[in-house]
Amino acid sequence: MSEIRELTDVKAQKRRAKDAKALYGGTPSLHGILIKIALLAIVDAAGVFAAMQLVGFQQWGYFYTEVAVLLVLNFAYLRRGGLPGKYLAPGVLFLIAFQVSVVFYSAYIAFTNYGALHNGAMQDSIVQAKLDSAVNDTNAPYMPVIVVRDVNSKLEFLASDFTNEAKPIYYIGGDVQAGAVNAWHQITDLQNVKTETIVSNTTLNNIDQAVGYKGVTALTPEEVTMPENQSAISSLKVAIDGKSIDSKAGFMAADPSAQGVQRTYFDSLYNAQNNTFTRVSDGTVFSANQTTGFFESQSGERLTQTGWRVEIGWANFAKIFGDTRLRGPLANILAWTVMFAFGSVASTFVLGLALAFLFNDERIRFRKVYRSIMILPYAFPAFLSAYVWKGMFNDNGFINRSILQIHDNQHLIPWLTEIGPARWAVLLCNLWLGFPYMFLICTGALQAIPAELTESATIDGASPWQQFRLIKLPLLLVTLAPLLISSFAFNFNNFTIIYLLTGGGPAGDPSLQVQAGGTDILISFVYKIAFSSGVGADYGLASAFSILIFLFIGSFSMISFRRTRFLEDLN
Amino acid sequence: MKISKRGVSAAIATVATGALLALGTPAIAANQTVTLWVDSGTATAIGKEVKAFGAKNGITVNVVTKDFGTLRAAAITAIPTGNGPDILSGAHDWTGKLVGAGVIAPVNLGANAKSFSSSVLSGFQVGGKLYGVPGWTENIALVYNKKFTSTPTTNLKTAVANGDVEVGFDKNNGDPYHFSVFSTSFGLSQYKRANGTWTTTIGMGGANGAKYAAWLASAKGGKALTSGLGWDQLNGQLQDGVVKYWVTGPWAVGALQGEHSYKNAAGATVKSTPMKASDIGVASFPSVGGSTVHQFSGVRGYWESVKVPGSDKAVSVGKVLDFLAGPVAQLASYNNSKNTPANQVALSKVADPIVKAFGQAGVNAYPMASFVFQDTTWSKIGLAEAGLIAGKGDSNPAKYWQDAMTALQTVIDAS
Repeated sequence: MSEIRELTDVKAQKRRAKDAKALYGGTPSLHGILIKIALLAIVDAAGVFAAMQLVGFQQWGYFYTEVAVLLVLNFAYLRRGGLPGKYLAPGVLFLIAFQVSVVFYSAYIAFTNYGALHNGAMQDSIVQAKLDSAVNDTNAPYMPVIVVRDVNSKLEFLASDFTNEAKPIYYIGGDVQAGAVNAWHQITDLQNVKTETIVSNTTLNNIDQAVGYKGVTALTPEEVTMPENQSAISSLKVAIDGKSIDSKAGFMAADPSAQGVQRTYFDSLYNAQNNTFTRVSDGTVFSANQTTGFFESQSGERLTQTGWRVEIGWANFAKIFGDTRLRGPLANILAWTVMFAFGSVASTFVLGLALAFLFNDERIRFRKVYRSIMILPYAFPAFLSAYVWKGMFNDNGFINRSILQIHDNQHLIPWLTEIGPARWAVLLCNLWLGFPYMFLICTGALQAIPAELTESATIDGASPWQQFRLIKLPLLLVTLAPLLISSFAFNFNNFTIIYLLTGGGPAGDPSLQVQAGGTDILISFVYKIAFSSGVGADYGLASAFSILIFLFIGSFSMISFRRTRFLEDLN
Repeated sequence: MKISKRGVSAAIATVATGALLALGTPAIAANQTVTLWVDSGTATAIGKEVKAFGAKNGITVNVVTKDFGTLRAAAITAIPTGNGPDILSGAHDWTGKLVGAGVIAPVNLGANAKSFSSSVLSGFQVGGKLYGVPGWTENIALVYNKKFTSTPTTNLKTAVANGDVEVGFDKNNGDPYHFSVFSTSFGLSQYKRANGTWTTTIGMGGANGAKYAAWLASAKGGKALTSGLGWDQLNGQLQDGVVKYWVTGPWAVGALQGEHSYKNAAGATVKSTPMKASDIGVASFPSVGGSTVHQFSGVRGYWESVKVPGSDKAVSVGKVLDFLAGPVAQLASYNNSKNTPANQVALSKVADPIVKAFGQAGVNAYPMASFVFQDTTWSKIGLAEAGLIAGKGDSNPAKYWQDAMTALQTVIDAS
């Protein structure tokens, strides 16, 4: 009685807390401090180095996060007391980094159209569209080029047109608007050029022989490879009419290796002010549509195939519930997912429980040996087992040929290629993978049931079946119900076995527009949408699905746990 | 001894601030490393040579080997973040998806442009613009064993019906790439063609489609086309004369010269007798349905990341790309891996009779289309073909086939 009073006494509790603080937060040994400081120093060193790198790359968001994490870690370990914090800090940080942030990111992606055609930001799309709009005129002569520097230190192209091998024509020019001396023009006063140098120069090998036309000097190979020159050469566009690269005449641009130049022209022009592209041939204006994530004309024509990622509100969720093409397959998949998860839990639990009872009988010799063997499927990596099962389920595999002894090729059971057998195959394989876990926890729970209970039941004349049904099973369920629920949640999302064993297959009727496989559970179907469906990846839709699955499993688990609490009260 | 907590904190703070101050303006090394993402086959074909080329030109070439099946998806995810490759390799029919994802840049082949046939280049074009550098070409042919077959058949239809022909295809998913030999012989075409390129209209339906469906439905059973034959099984059967013909490509040439374990008619596992290179016969496909066979050809090649043009390593990457397009690298790829060079200059120097025979068998081949929805087309057609062979459409093969093609066209039109 006095003990209970002391426990409920708030003052006493505080005193105990104080004692604890004295115990854990007191003066630690010098040894401990030194180890702690050494370890913390390593972490801090790494952290400071990472912070410097982030400053270098101007990643301010990551920088602040990184510094905050570092400060939290230092605070947690340098302060006196707060022992739980010292244990929890790394775990919580990793939880945030690898779980919580991922959930939030998925939730965000669910509201975007991120996918195959909407892969990057709008800026990326503009870059791509600009690159696309520059059309390389493959009919124009391809001229070997020497990149030269003029007296204003501006880069220019010195090119030679070898269409007529015997009588090459020489051109020179740079970007006049950027300050280059020469606008693009043919060199007519050939006496000013060491022509023989250029003629021999169909490759870049001997450009060290500078050309002396109006004081230009050739870039040495070393200069060409300097980073700033590489980007300058790659971006250099020399207007052919000497005025504007946007004109119909176009411009000269180097090939990627900068060994030659060729006439290039824009088939659409970008207007940075309005963020629009205008098609040169007919004047159609394509403006950025922030709802579809494409450059589109008034009539809805797209400039390029490449879009960008935009936020599209609830559209992905509307698609899941509204798209008739999805609705049919989804209903089937959901039904099978529940069947699969429930079937897996039920079958593994029944087998595990039965084996646990069997091997709980003290009359069996070598029980420990048997029990150890039982656990082997659990100890084996699941993906390895799945592959072995896949091999065994093959038409010519161990199960058909050796176990079932089918030798007539016409009567082989199509384990992995027909929907019915494939579902049984998945459940069988999952039974193999899952029963040891159930066996383990059932054995543990059984052993926790006091022997007196069984003894008194026997004395009262209860049959073994009555003992099991009325005493042991209810007691077991109290402990095991939460584990069964989490096992259901796990199997509901058991991607590994489906992916490895059948890949979601067999694929169904080819006349369906959305192709779902016969053993596809929700999560494997989501994977197909995310990475390999229709037009390609649709991460937005897949994320929306994931969020729904998360909500479904979350609420299912919450309700179930509530109900198990009720079970607990019964006893 | 007691160490002051404050002292320790202060020390750490001092060190940290000092380090940050010492940093001042962070010096980031100029990056002249050119990163290639390639599959293991490409790495074997040109990996060593491209590194040597880089070393000679002061460029560090970093060849990263990736799984062929996941390379494209990985590049699409990585390039926008700036962590992707500068150059990636793959099959030409990836081009559409790569362009759609906005991760590759148009290229100018420069001096090498005239060394490629327009058919090969068309594989890398989207909207008339060239995006990739062709590396090597491959197409399927009728491969036979000269030990058992002196003259290749001119009647493929009967050969198939007699069970003389083997094709590797999945029971459920089919293999429309290999089956193009049969489908095009019925006058079908994956998409209708106009001006030497693919349109987006599926060309597999209609009256010819019905004929093809009827033939597929009749070509099933133990005798004709058998699904699910493994690589060793396919090799072994041809090596030992169990079947006479194999619909396959140049990638089988090496394997046919090695030993394989396979199951014989009695179901026992036996070891095959390796073929000599001189015993490998390569023939053109006779037509099953009466029309000219236009099997697919594939062109392996390289693309430049969209981040490269205008960047501080644009020229270095361009030089590597130029090397890959040129005859030196393409001949090296032939020498290392028996790949048929796409570059005509390199091709003219190839003497291997098998490589040449594959080239001759592929004169009518079309490069696979590379639309952004291409995967859907493959999977739908394959599913329908496999379904018919498995007898799923037996009640009405023509309808089963046409329904699938209609669904496919609907999906394409919606994209």
